[in-house]
Amino acid sequence: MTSTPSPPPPVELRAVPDRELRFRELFDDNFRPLLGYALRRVANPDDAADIVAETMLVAWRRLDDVPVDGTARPYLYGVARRVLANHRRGELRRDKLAEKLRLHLAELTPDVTSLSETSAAIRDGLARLSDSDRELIMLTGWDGLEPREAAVVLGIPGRTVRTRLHRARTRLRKAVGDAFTDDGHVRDDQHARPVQEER
Amino acid sequence: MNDHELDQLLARANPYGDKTVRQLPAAGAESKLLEDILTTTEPATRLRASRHRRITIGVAAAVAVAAAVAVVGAVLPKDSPVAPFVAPQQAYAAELVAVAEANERILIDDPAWKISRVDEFTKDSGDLAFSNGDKTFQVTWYPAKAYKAYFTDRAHGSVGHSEVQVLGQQGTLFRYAKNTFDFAFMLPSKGPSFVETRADLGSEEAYREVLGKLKKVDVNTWLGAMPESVVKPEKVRAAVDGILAEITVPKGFKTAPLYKETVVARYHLGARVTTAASCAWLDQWTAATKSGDKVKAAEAVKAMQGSKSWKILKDMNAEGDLPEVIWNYADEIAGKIKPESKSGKPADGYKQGLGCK
Repeated sequence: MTSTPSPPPPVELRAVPDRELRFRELFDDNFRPLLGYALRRVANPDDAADIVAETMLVAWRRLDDVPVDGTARPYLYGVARRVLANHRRGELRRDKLAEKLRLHLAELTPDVTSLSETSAAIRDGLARLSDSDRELIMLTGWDGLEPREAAVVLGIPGRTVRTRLHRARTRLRKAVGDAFTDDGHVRDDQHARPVQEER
Repeated sequence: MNDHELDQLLARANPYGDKTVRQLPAAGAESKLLEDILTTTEPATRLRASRHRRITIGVAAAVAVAAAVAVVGAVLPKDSPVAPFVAPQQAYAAELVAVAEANERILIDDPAWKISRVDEFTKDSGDLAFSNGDKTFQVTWYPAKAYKAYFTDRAHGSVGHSEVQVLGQQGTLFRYAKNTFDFAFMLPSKGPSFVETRADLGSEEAYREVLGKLKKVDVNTWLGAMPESVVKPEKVRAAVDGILAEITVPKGFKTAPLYKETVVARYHLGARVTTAASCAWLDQWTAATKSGDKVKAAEAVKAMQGSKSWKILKDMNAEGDLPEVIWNYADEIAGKIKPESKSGKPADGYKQGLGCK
């Protein structure tokens, strides 16, 4: 008499900790926006991989510090801003975590040939602004943040951010003003002049 | 360059727009990064109960300032006499009709697409946006003389273009980037202006489908499609007077420039009047502070503080930033807040900040 083989033991389902679930959601919601934030601020697209990896790692390790009141994204941008500063100082190491993403992004070449004259003039104008003016305009104009969220990233009082933004935009207008005709078209033969900081 | 134009130029200059980033082929790398991070050693943390919560971020699309919502169109009062042989229709100010007649009047022949924004129109330029859910289709009128320059710019800034027949006319369709469906379409000029449309509708087919739905309409139909709440040119004087009656202006304040009759949003008209008044008060405060005239300086401080109760500014505050800028200067000269300027002087740079003339 042969014994019936015993059924395989039931697969033990791994209970996913709440903490992990929360991070997965945070990651899913913010990976692409954070990648965009980083890509817009680095010279080489593959460097953005290290910025994103380091920022997400910080968020995972300090998950309790990540706000749950709807300001997680500006909080992450604030972390990324500090990571980016380290990167600019040459202090950001090439993280093994970012290896695969880096390979993907290394193939990404910004298509500068398709950069129109108007866009070039705007970027020139942005480059002439102070760091704080430029960052405020980029956060609201490119990264899709509201002024109050930009205030969280920059660590400035929410009360003053709209005024600062208004002034920054005025300075950008002035910086690019000479490059445009009255109807908003870029002039052929003029270049934006440096703008004076007037704060 | 108004706020809307600056926003548009900024958006175009964005090297990595949202859609570009969304479409980057990095999904494999994305999930590997996530899994790798989750397997890193995490330091002990205080785990709280019920941490599982959907985090929704209230990030507004693109830009913050909703300054420009100029709207045209107005109906006759209900009790206005209408000649019996005239079919019931809307009547418009002569200037508005002239503007409408001068421009090619284009609508999208699909009730799902509604005009959601109209900027100030002149006889050779204007800008409006149609919305359908979260999709936007922009139509802009530029002066005819600028056609060649715009065409060259679009040809230079795009990754390809092709000829398309729209509204019985041959126009040019430009694709802005390989990895997005951001298309612009230009129709050669007819009359004083030419038309350009722009949208990213997710595919070239979707964009072409809307192009195929464009139709030319008569003046009344076009104006009738506009959203409500416009300050008509002939109503500008009364509207300005209404605002002036609610605010405080210094002695000798010049009101004549405020009455310029244009098709203008109430926000813009409010900005025209309140910035002029604020500039005048800040001019007085600056001069009085310099000459040591405490009475005049105090009068300006009091008036600027009073701007916090100006109804027009309170109304405008829901739409844009200008009221807060004015109130900030008010608080700076009142010594309530630390000046933001590098010089540390209250209201320094207000002429530039408010566009004082």
